[in-house]
Amino acid sequence: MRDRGRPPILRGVTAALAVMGLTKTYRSLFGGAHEALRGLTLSIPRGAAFGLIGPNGAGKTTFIKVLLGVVQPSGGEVTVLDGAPGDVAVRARIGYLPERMHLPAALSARQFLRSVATLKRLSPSDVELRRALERVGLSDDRQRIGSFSKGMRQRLGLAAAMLGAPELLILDEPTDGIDPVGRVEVRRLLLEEHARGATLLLNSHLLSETERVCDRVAVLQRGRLTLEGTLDDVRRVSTAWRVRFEAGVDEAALRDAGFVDGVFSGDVEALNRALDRARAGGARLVSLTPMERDLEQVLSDAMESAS
Amino acid sequence: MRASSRRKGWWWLAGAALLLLLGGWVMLGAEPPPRPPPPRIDLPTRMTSAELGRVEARRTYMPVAPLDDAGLVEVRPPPKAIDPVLSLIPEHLERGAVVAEVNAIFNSELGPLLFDCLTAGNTRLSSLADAGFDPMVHVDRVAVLDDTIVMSGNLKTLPPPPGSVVADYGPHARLIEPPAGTRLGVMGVWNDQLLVIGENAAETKALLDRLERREAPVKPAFDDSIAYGEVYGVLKPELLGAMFGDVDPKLRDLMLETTTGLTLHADVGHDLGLVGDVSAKDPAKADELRRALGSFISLARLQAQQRGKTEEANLLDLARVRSGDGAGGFRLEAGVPNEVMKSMLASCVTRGKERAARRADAGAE
Amino acid sequence: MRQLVRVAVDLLLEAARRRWFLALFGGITLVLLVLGFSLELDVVDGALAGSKLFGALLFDDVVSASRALSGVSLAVAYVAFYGGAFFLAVACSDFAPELLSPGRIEHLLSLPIARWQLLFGTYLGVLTLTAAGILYGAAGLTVLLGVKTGLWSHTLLLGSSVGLVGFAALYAVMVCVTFFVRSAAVSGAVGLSTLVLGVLASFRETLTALMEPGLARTLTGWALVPLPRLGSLATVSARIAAEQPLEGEVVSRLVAGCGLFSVAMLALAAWRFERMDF
Repeated sequence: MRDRGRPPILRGVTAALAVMGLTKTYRSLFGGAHEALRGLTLSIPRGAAFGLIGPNGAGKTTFIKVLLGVVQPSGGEVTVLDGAPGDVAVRARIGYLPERMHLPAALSARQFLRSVATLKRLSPSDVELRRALERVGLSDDRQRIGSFSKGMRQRLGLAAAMLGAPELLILDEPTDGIDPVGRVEVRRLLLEEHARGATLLLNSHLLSETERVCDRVAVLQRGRLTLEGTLDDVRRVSTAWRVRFEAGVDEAALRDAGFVDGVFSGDVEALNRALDRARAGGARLVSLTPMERDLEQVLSDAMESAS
Repeated sequence: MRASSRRKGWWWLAGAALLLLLGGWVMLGAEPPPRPPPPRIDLPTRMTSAELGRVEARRTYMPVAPLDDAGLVEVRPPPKAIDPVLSLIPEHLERGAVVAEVNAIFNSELGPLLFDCLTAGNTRLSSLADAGFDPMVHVDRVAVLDDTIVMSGNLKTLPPPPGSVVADYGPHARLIEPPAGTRLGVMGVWNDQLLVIGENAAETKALLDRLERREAPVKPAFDDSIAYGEVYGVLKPELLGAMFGDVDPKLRDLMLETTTGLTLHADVGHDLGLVGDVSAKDPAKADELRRALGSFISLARLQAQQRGKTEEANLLDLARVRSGDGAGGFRLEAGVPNEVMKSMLASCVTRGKERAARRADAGAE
Repeated sequence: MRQLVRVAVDLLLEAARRRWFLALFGGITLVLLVLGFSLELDVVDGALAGSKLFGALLFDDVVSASRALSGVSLAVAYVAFYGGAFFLAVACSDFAPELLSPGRIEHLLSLPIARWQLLFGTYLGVLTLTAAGILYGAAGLTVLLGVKTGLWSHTLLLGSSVGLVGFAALYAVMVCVTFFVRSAAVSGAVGLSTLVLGVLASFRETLTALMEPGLARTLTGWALVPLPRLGSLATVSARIAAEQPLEGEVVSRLVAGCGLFSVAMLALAAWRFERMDF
């Protein structure tokens, strides 16, 4: 019943969030326009740890704000946790950590968390608030936010986002300003949340973090989605293969066939042709695996192909 | 959610416009009425040019009585223009001297009402009228000088009290002695312009002699420099003390102890405006008296308010004690607005008529 | 409702921690103390026999203390209204822009609270702050004059409370304009302009009568209609403080009109807020 009237891509999908043809154009008073999102179509399954990567100005933050109802889309359709973005009931199930969080400097960490809890319609005890702070590594709950380091602020923001065990955690640069040891802790926390069943949407410039936390990623470039899939899929390269032959094969013959230092570069057709030539020369294939890239390479390749 | 279907909150805008219009409509004309200006009462604080003219017009060269003894040559000071009424003021007042500009008062806005108030139910006035004497027209001034009463005006038609004995006193005056048993003193009419009433014939004759300068000239307690306002004069401490005696004995004692007198000026014609300049012996004591009088007025006002006598409280609100002149003197001011005067006088007239009616009924029975 | 109050409480907490309260209440206390030590009121049996400020004679006439206090209350109420409005326009101008600061508003909007609740909560917080300041000042002065003269009157508090309705209208405009131009300076300037226009609106009929008949006069007349009659409200507030007679209907209409204007401004702000991207 719930699927009636939904676009085909969204039917039958138990997605944490789904967008179709999402566009956002910022218009200035003087008639100028900037297209931040250009027909984005994407679905993130519930329970996924989704990484959003892309260069600066790609539209990642705008996309996140659309999901939260902070920015109104210019076109397309958006569903978040089966509801409309911006809907109060939906927002009650989301935890969000903004990229640059402005925290009230005059309040203590506990006062801030208490305030967020009330606004989230929660009534945690002081002990629960202290635990929430200890979980992110903040032991002094009475310390004023004004005296916090950037990393401590980020931790407090994370604690606020995780308050009330939200179904969807949207984190914009969660490890920004946090030291390497702290990053490990944050990563642990995110994995805990993921294990709890929360859907994670992570936007981070630290691609290694995304790689370690997320199981799905998408590359956003100039408001368009250029790549999306499981982490393994996007890291896999379809034009480079690592090949191992039985010992005793003529190395010169293999090089002539295209296998240089156990690596073949080319598409599947070329690979099969090269394998045929090698086998004709007496070589016997032992293993063949596609080569993998890290996310940095993925992004770099994506940007290269786009340009 | 379809982007285009997102609620734009138009009803907020519609509500804003509606409320703005409604608010404007509600506030239309909701201006607080202009603050009622405090009743402004003109107080007689200085002599006006008209009053100066009046003073100068009244200064007269009095006819000098002929010498009794033709063989002696008396050296007299050169004649000086004087105000005949004020010239009768004694040199040393015991209780005070007050002059009322009766003609000015009776011919003012409040005059007729004031006259009716004073005369309501008075049957003796009809005998005066029968004789052709109209107090509204023929009386100019009335003065009370300690125990003596002086009246000026056109007194030609003023009839003597029935049964009086009339005798000439010199070429310009005549003595009128009312029959024994009446409370009226001996009257002396001078030149049909001035009536003096003394306690006995000797006192009246002395006044007439003084008027015609048959006696050594006396310097009156005050001269015509204070003759402004419609009522003016000087009240001595004894009289002032007596005024407060029943109300506040402490104030009476302080008054007797501190003051040397009070120079009074009052305007009655439109509003009643009273100014009293108190002169004192000791500046420190005078300041004490000043504060005591201020407190007395405030207290009276508060009491009036508590008793719900709003009009009285408002009148007392107009009374104030002005700051001192540095030499111990200070000024008292009081006022009664025109509307209040009218209503007070109207009720006075009604009460007088009721009294007269009751007397008439009693007489008939 | 709980969330709306929470936004207001957060604002108050923040103001308290920012020593804003300290500045406001410290300033008022200082004025009261200076007045307390420098104002000499010589009261004898309910009459004010002389008043000195900083040793200089203010007036020496002996007048009824209640009447003198009525004058003092009138003056204080006027000063409190216009001074308070000026203070509000200047000192409170950054609360609403602060709400919309980047990094804060996104976070707030991600929480399950309606935009209008954020708006009304902030408004309520500032108004509570202002009310606390005004009532503290009025109560302090009432006590000061009461101790010095022995006369106790609650009318200064009552008059100040009515004056608060004017501040409500003023701050509603300031909040509204923030949602069009996020700037504390602009908000403050608009607040001060509203104060001036509000006084002009109080003399709408007199003003238009002074103008030549024509389009300009008609437009001015209509343009001033919806504006809060701040000048009249100041007068009403002062007259209540001074225990002067007033028509109840005029007071009710002024208070209701200002209230409606305030809600209208907030509704306009809410409309704009609903459409804004951050």
